Amino acid sequence: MDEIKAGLSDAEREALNALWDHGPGTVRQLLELIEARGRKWVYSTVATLLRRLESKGYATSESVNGSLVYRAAVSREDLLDRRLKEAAAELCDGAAVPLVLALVQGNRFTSEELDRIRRIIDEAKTKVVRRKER
Amino acid sequence: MLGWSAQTTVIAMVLAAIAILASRSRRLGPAARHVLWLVVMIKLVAPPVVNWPWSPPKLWVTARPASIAAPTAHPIVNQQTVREDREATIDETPARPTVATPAPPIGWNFDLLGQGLFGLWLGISATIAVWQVGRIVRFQRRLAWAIPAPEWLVQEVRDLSVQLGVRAPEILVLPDLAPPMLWFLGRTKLLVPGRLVSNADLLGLRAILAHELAHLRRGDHWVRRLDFFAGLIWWWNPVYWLTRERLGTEAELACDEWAIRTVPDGRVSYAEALLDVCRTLSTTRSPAPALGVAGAGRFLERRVNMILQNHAPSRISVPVLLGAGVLALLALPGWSAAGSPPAKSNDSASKEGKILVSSATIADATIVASDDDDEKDDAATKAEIAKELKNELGPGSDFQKAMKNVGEELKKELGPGSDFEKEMKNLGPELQKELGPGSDFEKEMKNLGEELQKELGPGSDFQKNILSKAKEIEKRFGPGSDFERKMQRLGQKMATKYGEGSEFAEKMKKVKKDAKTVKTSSDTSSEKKEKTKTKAQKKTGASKSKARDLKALRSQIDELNAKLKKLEEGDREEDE
Repeated sequence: MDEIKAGLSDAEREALNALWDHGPGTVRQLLELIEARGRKWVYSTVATLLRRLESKGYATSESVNGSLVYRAAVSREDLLDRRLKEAAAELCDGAAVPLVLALVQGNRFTSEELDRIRRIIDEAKTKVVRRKER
Repeated sequence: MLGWSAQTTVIAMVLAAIAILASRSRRLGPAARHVLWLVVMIKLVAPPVVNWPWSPPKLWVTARPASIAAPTAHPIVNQQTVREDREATIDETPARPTVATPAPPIGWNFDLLGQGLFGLWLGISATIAVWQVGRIVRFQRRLAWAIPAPEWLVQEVRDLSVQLGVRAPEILVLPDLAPPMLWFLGRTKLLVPGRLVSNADLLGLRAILAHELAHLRRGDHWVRRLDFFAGLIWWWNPVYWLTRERLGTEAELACDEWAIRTVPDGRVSYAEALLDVCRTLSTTRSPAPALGVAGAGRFLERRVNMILQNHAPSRISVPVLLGAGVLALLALPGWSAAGSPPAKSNDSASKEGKILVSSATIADATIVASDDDDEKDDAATKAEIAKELKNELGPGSDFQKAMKNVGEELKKELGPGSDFEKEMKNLGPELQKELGPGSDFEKEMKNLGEELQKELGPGSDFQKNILSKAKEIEKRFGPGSDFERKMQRLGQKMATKYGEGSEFAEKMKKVKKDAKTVKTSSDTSSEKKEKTKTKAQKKTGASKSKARDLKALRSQIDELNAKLKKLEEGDREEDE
């Protein structure tokens, strides 16, 4: 986790996804999976992408019987739980960035506002439960 | 430019007022209200390519405060006025309406002020553009931290996309506390925060995904692009900020409706997920200055209430769409100020709008001006402005791209495969449904026929009335009626008056006797007697004809009675 040095390009992300879904594998094995998903990449592209993933800390490699086998260094769950301080600001006020449509606008709600909405939802919940009981 | 902006602002204000008034109607859902506000936004960014043949309300001329009434940002116009002032010629009326401003009062250089204002406007617009592009680039860079979405989430989005009729976007999971978002630089990406993926209730997540996909379905990403462009021009205009805010609000509400319609069992889960996202955002200590959106809390409450209770339709009805279309047609083309004809340009140039034409004339103006040494500096600045304008608005510029987007959006809204087209298509079957076999209309028509039969047919009140009238007639004129008795009495009276033993008969006898006595006296008297005789005979003949008439009447009444009886019998049989 600590070794992760940089973000991912779209292509690197796809290669990492293949690595997660396939499990440890050689470049050829991973290429087959990527091709099955409709991507027309060549061997050298996949090899480059995997090398880059390794240099950024997302993957590791070892030589098995003379061929290089890559495996993911981080799991999807690890990355999901990660909190990126530097990215948070940009992404949190994403609603205001042009070319973004966010689920909610603004990122500051007072606790009173949130509590009031909590009560509204709870009331609706109890109503639903009562209706089900009937 | 200032004239155009003032005119556009006034028209946009009128459109906004219409949108506000129409929004009061409870029958209009968020989607319909959104369309009305969209007309305002399109008006704000649409260049005056088409000119109406009539003269516009010249509101800005009178409405503008004196300090900015005279200046005009049109360099060509300024050029002309300056030259005209110098040469003291006033015979040539300038082509553009903004030229027709009153002569500036002494002590103020309004041309300079106008240029200054325009320059300030452009300068701030350019600054905003740079700042916004910077934000876009930074945001794009941050997306490198996104991770590929798990297969089940991809499948979920794919299923929902099919359900909503949109092309499935690429999905990225953000290892952040950001809200779910759509990012539409290049291929549209759906950004989902990792928190939601790992611990949200599936129904809630599904509703959130449906909400985001509904934005694509409704074409809100195009509106957002339009808004981005409008913001560069109208940053100073409250009408723009109001329109922007309303568009955002109505789009969110409309997408919430889509979400709960797509995931009907997920109302409570969706509300919870929404609250969860907001709570997370509020507790995150963002290093960036807090982005306070006024009324965000109240709006969230409104959304949650609507999600939990809403029954309104999320589609736009045909009348609303037609109304908005008419509004747009009326308001969108630029009004040709003071009845001046639109600038003549060939087809390719007209596409880029009049602004390009005016920038060409600016270049001409600079050439004209360059022969005067004093005006050289002035001309240079103008050439710069012209260049800037070309960069801002010419081919390959954001302006042109945005215009293309507007066209595409309109095509999407109204063209093949659009909601409008679908609704128009639906109109046919709907009309058939409304008026065709099995429809309410047909039923009503049937009911009308039945009612008419009930009202006028056998057994109806009408028939009963007719029958009772006939009976009355029979009673009045038939056997045993007063009429008959009167007639009989008349007959008797006639008999007593003129019959045997009556005074008349005795008189006649007397006359006969007298005649016998006078017979011998003269022939003429006998002739007279003859005459009186025939008269008397005639009188008795008249009474006879009356009796005949009576007989005829009676026979007619009898005939009527017989017909009535037949009819009544027929009815009884039918009833049985």
